[in-house]
Amino acid sequence: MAESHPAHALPQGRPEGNGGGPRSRRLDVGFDPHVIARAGCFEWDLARKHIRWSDDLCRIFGLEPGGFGGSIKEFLARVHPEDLEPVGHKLRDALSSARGFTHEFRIIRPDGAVRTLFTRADVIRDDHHQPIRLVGTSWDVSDKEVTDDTLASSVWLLRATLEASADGLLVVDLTGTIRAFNQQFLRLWRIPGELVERRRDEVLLHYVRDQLCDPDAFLRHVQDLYIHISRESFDTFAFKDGRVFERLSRPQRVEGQIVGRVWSFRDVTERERLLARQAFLADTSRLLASREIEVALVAVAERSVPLLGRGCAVDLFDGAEARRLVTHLTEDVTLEPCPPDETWAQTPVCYAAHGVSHLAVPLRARDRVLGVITFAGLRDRAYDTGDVEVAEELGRRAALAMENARLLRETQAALRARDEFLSIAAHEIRGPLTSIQLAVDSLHRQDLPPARRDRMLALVDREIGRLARFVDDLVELGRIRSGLVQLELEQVDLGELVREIAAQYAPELERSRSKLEIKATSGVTGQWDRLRLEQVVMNLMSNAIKFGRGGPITLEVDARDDVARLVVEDEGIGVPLEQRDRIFELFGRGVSARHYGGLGLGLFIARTIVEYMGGTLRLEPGRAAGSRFIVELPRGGTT
Amino acid sequence: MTVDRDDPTILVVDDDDDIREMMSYVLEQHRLRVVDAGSGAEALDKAHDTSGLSLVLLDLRMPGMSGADVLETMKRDPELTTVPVVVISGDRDAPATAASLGASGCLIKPVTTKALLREISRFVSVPA
Repeated sequence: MAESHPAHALPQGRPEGNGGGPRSRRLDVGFDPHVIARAGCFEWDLARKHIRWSDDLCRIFGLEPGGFGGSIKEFLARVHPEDLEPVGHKLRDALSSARGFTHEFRIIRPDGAVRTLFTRADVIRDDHHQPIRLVGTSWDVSDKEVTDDTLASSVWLLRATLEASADGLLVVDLTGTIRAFNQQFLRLWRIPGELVERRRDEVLLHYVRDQLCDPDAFLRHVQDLYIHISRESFDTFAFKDGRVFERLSRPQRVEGQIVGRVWSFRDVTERERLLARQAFLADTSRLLASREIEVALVAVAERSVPLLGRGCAVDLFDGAEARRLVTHLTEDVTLEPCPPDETWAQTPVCYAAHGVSHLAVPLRARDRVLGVITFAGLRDRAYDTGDVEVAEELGRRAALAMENARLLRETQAALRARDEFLSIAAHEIRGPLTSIQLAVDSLHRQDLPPARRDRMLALVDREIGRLARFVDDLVELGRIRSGLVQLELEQVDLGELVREIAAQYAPELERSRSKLEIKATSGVTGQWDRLRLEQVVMNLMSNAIKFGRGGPITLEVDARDDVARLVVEDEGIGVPLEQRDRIFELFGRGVSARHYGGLGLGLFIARTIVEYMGGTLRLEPGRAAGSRFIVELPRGGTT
Repeated sequence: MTVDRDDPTILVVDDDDDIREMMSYVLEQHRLRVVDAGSGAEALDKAHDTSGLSLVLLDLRMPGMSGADVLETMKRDPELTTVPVVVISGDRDAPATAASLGASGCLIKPVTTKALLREISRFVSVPA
């Protein structure tokens, strides 16, 4: 027996009385509006002349589950008299032709209520094609009007759900006819309502294409999906106005058959912008890790366009001066230089200039504004909080990188200065040692004439003095740097002291061929540290001889009120204006160490000592090309 | 000590007067003819003016034209390029600098008389 009709199979092995719930209504009959009406199954065993009803069918007939006796006569007795004949006809016809039927007829319940049933029945035959059973389903369609309302409500609910979606939805059938859409779809694509009423997808495609950055790629993709109807796709695409949409496209299937395509669009502009900003900040961090900070800033300016504007400029501040490092423009926008003023005290600044909105953020590190990054005019919108936050973060990172680069430069410079210091220190010591060594080698000889011997001993004496002064300078430097300078004040006559030192320098002056003139007012006395004051005068004298190019050197001593003044002036190489502060710094040399020996200690030590004694040491251009150092000391000693 | 015109001539270049004086004295004691220069510019002038120049003893750190400048100029000058130059410097890295500039030798200060003569004898014969 070919008995396989699950469509009407009665629940087997299930206790009677368990039907009637939602499960029993879920008959697989395909789509039919009546499915939501109550339904029940029947099975007529022709050989046994017995009809079996499901619990639901019993209920539809107004009986308790199991309350149907099972005879055809009992069934027919419940059929409305007016419909009895057609029912009988349908049954006979089915049995004789062995073909199924559908039929709508009324029944009368025991309580007299009339119900309308829609019945679908199939005939089951044996191997000899003889009918053996009639199986089927009856739906109570009396409440069809109510059902229609429910359906309408469901459609409305579905519609509302579509409209509630944040996604723009569009359903197009295989012929390109628009089957459904929601308002969000129209809003996202800025499509006028009357256009969509034409219900043709190609009309919409034609309308939207000019909004897109790459309309050809977009249309190619759409056409490709309409050709390959089972294909799914997910991608993003950009609008000329800066918006970015996500597009999901899937085939629409009804009962397994593809009947069209569902398009879903989502505005992901903000999300993409966030991602772009994160990627931007990550890139800038990587760029700013470069040792060449200014090269990195240029790269960052280029990278920030177009994310943060159509143009970007970086101004770097050096005191009251601003320097434009880079201007990167993609369009004809103007980026005015930013002066270093109080504008940059704290926050980013948004302003309009030449009809373009600008965003400027200070590069701040350790409470110092190192410069400003300015962005000009986003193409499609005004600057928002997100832009400001990104720009601020960029400013922070760039300033930190600049600060780090500065610290690295300073550290490297300090290391170079230390190496240079050691190298020059070695030179300063090895020079006198060479003279002493060669002199001592010769002094060993017995046949040295007395005059030559005396000359060599004087030389050794002189070189030891040089070494001693150098050691003094080093020791004094150590004291100054550790703050251990203790002045020993006594009454000192500055004029006398200067004359004594000048006398000591007579041989060096002779060798340098510099003529020395001393103009000292007598009686310029004060409470000073004699040895340290000698150190100051010696350092200034040494410099004058060393850099004096053999020209005349003048020493002046005088006093005004309670201030004594010493001037040491030469006509030598002088000190360029830009070096004048530097020469007083530690290791601050006005000239290349490659050419001139000396550690750059002298003037630092001299000025520090003078300041300890409450005075000042400054440099003025000499009357000729050389230098004019002026020491002014309060005569009472320290202040 | 007499010095003949035909004796090898050595140019001593150092801005330190005492070193110049001592080196000249030591060399002259060994019958070597010495001319000296206290600056780079003077050194080049004297190198050109000295007939039979056999060797230059050159300090690196000098005001104005440095020893390195002198050496570079000499190496470019066809008349002087073959004259051997021994750098005598107080800098630790002087040997590397000297080698890179094409010097023939290098001594680190302080220099003993013995070491100085030994180095010189590589280029000129030093009478006993």
